[in-house]
Amino acid sequence: MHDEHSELVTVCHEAMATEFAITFAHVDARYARQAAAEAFHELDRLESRLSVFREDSDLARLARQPQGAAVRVDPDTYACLAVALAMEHETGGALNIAHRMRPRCQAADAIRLLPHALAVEPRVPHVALDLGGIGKGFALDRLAALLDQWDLSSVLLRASRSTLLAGDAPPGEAGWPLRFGPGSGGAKVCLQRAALSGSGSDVKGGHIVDPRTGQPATHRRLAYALALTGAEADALSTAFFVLTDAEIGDFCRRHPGTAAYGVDAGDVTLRALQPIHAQHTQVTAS
Amino acid sequence: MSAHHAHDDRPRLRRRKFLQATAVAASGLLAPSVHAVSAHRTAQDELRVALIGAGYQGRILLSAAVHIPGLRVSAICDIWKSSQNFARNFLELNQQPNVPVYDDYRELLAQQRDLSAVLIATPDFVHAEQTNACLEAGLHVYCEPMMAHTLPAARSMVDTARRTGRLLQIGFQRRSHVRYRHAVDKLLREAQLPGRLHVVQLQWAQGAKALHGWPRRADIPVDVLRRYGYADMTQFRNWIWFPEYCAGPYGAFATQQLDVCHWFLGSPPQLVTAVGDRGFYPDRPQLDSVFALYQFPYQDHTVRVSATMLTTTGTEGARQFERFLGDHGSVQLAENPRWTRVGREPTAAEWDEWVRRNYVVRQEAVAAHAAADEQADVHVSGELEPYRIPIEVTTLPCQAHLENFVAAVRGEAPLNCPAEAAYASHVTALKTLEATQSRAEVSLEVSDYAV
Repeated sequence: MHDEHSELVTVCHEAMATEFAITFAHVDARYARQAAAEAFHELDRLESRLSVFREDSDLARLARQPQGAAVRVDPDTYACLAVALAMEHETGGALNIAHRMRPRCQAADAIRLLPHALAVEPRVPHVALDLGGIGKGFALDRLAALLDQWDLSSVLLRASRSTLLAGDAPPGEAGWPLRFGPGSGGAKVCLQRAALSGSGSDVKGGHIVDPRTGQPATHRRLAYALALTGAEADALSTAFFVLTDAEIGDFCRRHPGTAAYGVDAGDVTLRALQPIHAQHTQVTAS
Repeated sequence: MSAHHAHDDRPRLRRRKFLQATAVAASGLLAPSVHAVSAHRTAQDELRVALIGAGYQGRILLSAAVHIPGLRVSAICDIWKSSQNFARNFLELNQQPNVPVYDDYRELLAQQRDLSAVLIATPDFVHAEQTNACLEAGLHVYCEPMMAHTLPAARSMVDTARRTGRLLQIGFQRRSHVRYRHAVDKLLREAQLPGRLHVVQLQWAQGAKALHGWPRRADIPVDVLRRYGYADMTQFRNWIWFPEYCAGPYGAFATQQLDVCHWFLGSPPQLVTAVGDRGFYPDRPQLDSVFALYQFPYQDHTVRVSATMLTTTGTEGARQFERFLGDHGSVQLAENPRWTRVGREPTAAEWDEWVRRNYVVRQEAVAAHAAADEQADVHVSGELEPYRIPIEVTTLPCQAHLENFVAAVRGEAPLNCPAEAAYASHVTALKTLEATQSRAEVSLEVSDYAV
């Protein structure tokens, strides 16, 4: 995906083993950079809570807990896990943050959320969660919320090249003009107040395993999801990669504001699996 | 001035509302089994504290506090609405709604009669005033370092704690850090892994950062800033760079590492020489880089200690550690486990006994390396044999130190860092800054540390 806008202020930061970037359509570059610094400070804090590579992160602490012993977590960790479990439920297990656990199980069977204690209880021994399919998008949502407090709503946030969250359109524009899909045969989207995320074997190589079957998903080369939040888009692009066209269509009809595009295995052309109908978002052939 | 309620400013939460609602459905909303996360204490046992200062460090304390059974942050004080809102919302998310919020700590002390202690995380220049007032009010105090940026002010805190009989813990959290405690007690003191200790290297390096800004709508009126001692918003948000409020980055950062030296070596330095400059940020009044050399008496000899506080250009050089070097090996400590290292000199006796006791663990790579060594060229110098410290940190930053404070208030443990102990590193740090100005060796007398 490529940002086609110009004359904008973009600030980058390394976190969660990737590059995050915030692009501001704002005249005061110094103010925008100060806001970005605060946002990235928050991003580092989020990473310290969500990463499985930090010994004192919430996920690392959860992994050490014995079955049945709940552990209190940060409100953001709790929120991210809540979204992940909801997406697992809504996608029929196509998104599964417990996909690395053996024997295979669903995240909802591995942990239980305790809202009154803001805690997570392992339901099985040796819980091993991986927020790689949702954490970056969730982080984008949190950064956007922070930038809102700075009255910086005309922003485009990016995690790696794969997940984008658009705020309000730049002044005088209909949205943030972006291109996605394969080099030829892609599409343009004009995005505002929405998120776009892509998953595919083109980027990382190898196979994406369908957590429902444990087998590689071989029917799709690329999958893109549009949704209202970064966390949803991030999670759905992972899920859409393994879901069938019919399952995707069913999901999107049940969840207004979501849309799906994909490239089939062996193909080079992007096609609408479930086109977007949001008022401020338009997708056209590239 | 009375307590007031901050506004909820979580505008994006509504976006996730449907997802969170379904998450609750997915998780079943079953009766929560909270035995592992709730306090095993009665309401009468609950320790009520107030947080004074809800900025960057205050938020770390707040995050840690909600993880400690039996500890309840029951009031917030900060002059900035933005910080008040954050803390109040955070506590609300942690099932503590409607926590009273104050602008002025004096109003807090007048209104909140249910407190046992306060956590102070304000800028250094108000630490002494606030700490002394809270101690006089009969409260125990956990105060973030530095205690103060002048020695008379720091000394007054020790005096007040002694006179009132209240506890005063200074937030040098390494003193409660499980890996540091293991290293100091087991590796350095008992096993003496470095052998004859010659050198200690302290490094605090951080990447360049622009001055902090603030949301325009969160401006504090100038008359309010002046009332609380700040010239303007820029200085309020960036007080570490202005001498009116603190001893600068060296005071803020190096003092924590000097405390590790004082803690382990057990006696203050006799000599310091130092240079410092503002080469990286010429427009900021405080030193951005300091190189200091100390001579600490230790056992029957002198240990040379170097302390460098650097502003660097990138993340690669930005790391903090304390490294103890002797003739048998080295122990490098850091809060980040990636930079925690232990090594045995090839000429030193084996550490099998310490491995057996699980004080250290041989690195996996060593086995392969040792096999290769059998065919090594005799002209190649031996390399350090790497070990790791088998201690994992399972608590949040500051949590262990705060837990120690809570235990001390309950009479269950001594403070790990009482003010008397913390005072020494403040003397050393402030004398170091004097040395950078005089550009001369400064002798330190035992009497300088008397408190």
